[in-house]
Amino acid sequence: MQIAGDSKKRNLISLTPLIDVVFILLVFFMLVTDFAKFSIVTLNVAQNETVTAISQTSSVVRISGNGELRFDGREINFSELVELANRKLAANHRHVFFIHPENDTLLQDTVFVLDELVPLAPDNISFLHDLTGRLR
Amino acid sequence: MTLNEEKKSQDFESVLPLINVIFLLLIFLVLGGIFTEPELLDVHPPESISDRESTDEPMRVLLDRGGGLAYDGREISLHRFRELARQTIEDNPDAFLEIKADQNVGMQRVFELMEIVRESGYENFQLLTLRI
Repeated sequence: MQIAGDSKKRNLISLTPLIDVVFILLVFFMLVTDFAKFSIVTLNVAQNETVTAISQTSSVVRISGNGELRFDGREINFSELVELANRKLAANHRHVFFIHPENDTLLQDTVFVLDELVPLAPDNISFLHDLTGRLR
Repeated sequence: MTLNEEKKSQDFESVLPLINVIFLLLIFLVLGGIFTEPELLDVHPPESISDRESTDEPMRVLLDRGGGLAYDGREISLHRFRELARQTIEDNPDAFLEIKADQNVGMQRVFELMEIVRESGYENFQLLTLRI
């Protein structure tokens, strides 16, 4: 008799509103949460110098608009970049790398090159660019 | 127990696994996710292997794929950004700037922005990237 009474009590609590609320919470958290992990690349912009000539102790990594790489004028593929940079640094640990993206080069392609060069020579990397565009 | 009561009890038991799974999902989202504020421009930052994390709370400038700029919660032009950036540096010379630029934006626009950042007096800035 007692057991039957407990069972009746339990059935009095309706689950429908609970499920409704939990679903609303679920939808809310699915919309507002983000699982992306952000990191940063720190760039120094304090200096602005005009480069007139590229010396023997520096190299230019040119990135074209379609993502093709040229290392000191020679077309290379991405995997060769680290090898060539290491070779230059082995000869001279102060070797400077100028990254020269074209105006229509995507930021992503530039960041990929930075990712490869920054661990090798964090203090010897500069950007080469010519500001021909007009400010809006 | 009548047949009707028995049916009700079975209904209750059949939704228990559903509730369990929903609660687990809820706990996963609450603990694993980060709350993000919706931003003014649709910006997908470039991917990078860099694992450095931002420690300060810098001012953030957004640069979208089409070159649109947003700063301090408003869409602005580069000229206006130059004024605001100068003002920020005057008020707080140690201010730090974070650029959240789209991975598909052209470098011309990025350089224009960098030039203004430099002219304004910022010595360093952070480029926000998405960790691979």
